[in-house]
Amino acid sequence: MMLGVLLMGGLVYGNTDEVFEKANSDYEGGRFAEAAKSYEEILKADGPRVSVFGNLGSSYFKMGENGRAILAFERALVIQPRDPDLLANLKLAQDQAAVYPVNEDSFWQSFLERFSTRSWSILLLITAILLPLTALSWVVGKGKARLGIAIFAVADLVVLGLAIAGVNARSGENDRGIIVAKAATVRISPFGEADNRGALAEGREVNLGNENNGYFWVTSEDGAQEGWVAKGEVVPVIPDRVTKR
Amino acid sequence: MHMKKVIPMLWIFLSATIHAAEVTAKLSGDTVTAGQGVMLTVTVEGGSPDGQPDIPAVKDLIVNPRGTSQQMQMVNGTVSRSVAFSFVVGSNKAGDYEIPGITVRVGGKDYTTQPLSLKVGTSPNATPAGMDEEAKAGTPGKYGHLSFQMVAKDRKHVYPGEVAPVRIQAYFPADAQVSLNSMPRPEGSAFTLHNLSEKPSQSTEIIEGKRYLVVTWFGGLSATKAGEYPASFKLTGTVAVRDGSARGRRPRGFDDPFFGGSLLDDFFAPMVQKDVELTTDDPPQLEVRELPKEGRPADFTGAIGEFEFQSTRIPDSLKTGEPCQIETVVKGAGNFSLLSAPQPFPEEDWKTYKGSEDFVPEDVASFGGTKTFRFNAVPLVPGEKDVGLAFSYFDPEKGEYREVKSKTAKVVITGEVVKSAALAEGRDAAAPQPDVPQLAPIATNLGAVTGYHPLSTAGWFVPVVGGCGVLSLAILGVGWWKVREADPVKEARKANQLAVREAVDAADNAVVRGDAMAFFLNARNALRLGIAEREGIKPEAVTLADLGMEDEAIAGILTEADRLEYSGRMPSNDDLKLWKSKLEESLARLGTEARKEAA
Repeated sequence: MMLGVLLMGGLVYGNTDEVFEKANSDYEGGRFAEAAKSYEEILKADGPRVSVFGNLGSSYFKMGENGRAILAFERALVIQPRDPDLLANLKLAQDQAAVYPVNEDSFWQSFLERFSTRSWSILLLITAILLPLTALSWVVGKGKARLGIAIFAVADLVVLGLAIAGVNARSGENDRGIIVAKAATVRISPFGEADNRGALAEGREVNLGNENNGYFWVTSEDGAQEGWVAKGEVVPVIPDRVTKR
Repeated sequence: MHMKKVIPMLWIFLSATIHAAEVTAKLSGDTVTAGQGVMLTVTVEGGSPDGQPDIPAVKDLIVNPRGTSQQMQMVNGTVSRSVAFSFVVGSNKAGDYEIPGITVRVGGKDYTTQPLSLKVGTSPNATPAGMDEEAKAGTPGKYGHLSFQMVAKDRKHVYPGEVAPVRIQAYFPADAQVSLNSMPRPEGSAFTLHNLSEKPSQSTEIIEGKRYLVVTWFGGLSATKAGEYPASFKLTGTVAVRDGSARGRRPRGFDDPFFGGSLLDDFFAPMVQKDVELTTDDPPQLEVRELPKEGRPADFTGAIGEFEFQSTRIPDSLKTGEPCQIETVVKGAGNFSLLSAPQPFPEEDWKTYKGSEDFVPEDVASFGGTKTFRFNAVPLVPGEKDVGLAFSYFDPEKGEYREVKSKTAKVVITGEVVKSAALAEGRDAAAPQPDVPQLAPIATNLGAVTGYHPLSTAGWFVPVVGGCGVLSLAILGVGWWKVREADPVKEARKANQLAVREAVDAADNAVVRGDAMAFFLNARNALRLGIAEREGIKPEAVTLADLGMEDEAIAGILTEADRLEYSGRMPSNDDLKLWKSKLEESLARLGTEARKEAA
């Protein structure tokens, strides 16, 4: 049975590889819609991959769907925040969509956001596990060994503190959303007939709140606009985000 | 002529004339696309019309006569005669048209038809607006000729840069075989032709009783320099026509004059082929005027024609320094290529960037149409403002510049006044987006599947990390406690305190027993231990001299102990209890002092 599972996994992987190559071929041939469809299929079947998200974003960009392009690049950057190609592509898509996020991050915040939350959380776990081991070594150790252990413990605590800050630096990631409609209508209530408060342009990042009746409560980056936007017009950066209650 | 033949003919004629006249009008279809026509037939039955029907003028509706036909029928001895007048009706402007009743005079009496309705839909291949069908073809030569017509019939002048719509028609004999080598092109260097229709339309036309094939192009005429020049064009091709001067012999039986001769004469005539260069007969003189410098708006970019806003979209809430996308659609007719994106006003409050332009022509010459502009603009000044867009163009008909402003919209702009040099410098100085965006190459390596969510979102994460912290603290606590417990000074102090306690207990027992000697012995021992603890020295190191230097109570106890040792006189039980209380006070004070020393 184990062998069967492994074989199945191998076949699935082989198929994914073929679909990926076909999608890349479609992209190179200018068939961007077909390429995007194939990339979406890979993501749906296998889960998130940086390479597929990057290529998907490029396909959408070529199709003129800047909102979906930005979404794909942002999703890739959640996993790999420092990828220069992704950062450049995202900038390009944002420029194209006339979306210019105001970067007010301090040096400290920028440093923390250079790594993904996943990386920081792994580091946090490692340093946390090392902590009792270090303490035990210090208690058991004698003489000069204790000094070395103490220095190591201090370094471990410093990295632990950094990791906690790193995890918290992207604490709002779960609530990030991207407008994918050409102009998303912001309504005062989560109903199609509700009065609208204006529109949010394609590609803009918003803060997502509660879900209700197929609508998200959204707040624009600068907080100037708030209201309900239909789920099809705004998409969370983290697909399976935990909904606030 | 015999009377037998004359009487029936007369009867037929009388029957036809006395029959009541009836006039009807009908269209071959009630819908047509712009630039196309439907056939309008006005039929007069039972009478002979006194003249052509009077077709009422309808704005933008073009009516061209296409001929007259007559029919005579005899059914059951009744003769009916009808005359049908044909017209081609159409328009270059989409819309619903109503043709009022058409009046025809028959036998001195007016007859009016029912009104007709015609719906004209839009067509991407529509003739440029203003183009009429009434151009005079002139008299074609043997191999044909060219005809040129401006859209605006009364225009005798153009402006450099203006693209004036023109129609160029080539006329060839209907029976000619034509092969064109080129498209029409201007003679001389004063004019250029733009957007000439790639597939010219073909039709036939009768001029002075002769049928011609008419090839029609639409395009835009543009002048290159000021002055007065003939608008002349030429077209080269090969034309094969029948040589009427070398008619062949007619076949036997076709000599009857009924056949008229002409058709068969041509049919049997040999073909003559010739390379021809058709030119415009009597080309009109066009004056090319300089654009006036007076009154030229600062934002004039060379647009000449007639333009207006169709729609404008500006976000209603903005922030200074943050770009937004503005979209506007301008419709009209003219040189759209020189029409630049309208700018928001007041202009000094905005920084704009070059954006995209999308022109959708409404006719084959790309003269009329709509142009959609999308561009980025950055508000520089906050406040609640009435924001609109503006542009200017030159009206060639009126010969003056016009400034067009869109309807304004309330826009709330938050933020601070932007004084950034980079933003405040001239318009289009540094567009934030390249004209040809370049994406990074796509990934060819599939890579590993990963997850969005960090480990920190897992339920076990916080307990594990917290547990590690608590465990570390616990281990450190135990270690610290053990270290603290292993302190020799502290252990010595504890042992000393224990010894003091034992000595005090022994002294208490001695009091109970009334053994004064034992009491003072244990009392002196307890005091020595107490002083040793306070001083942090061993009890053996405490000398009598040290004891004697203590306070009066301790000195009193030591003196009484010496006295008892040497005198042998025992104190009473009450005295012992008194000494005991003095001992406890002294030990309590020493303990306090010892703790202070230790601290």
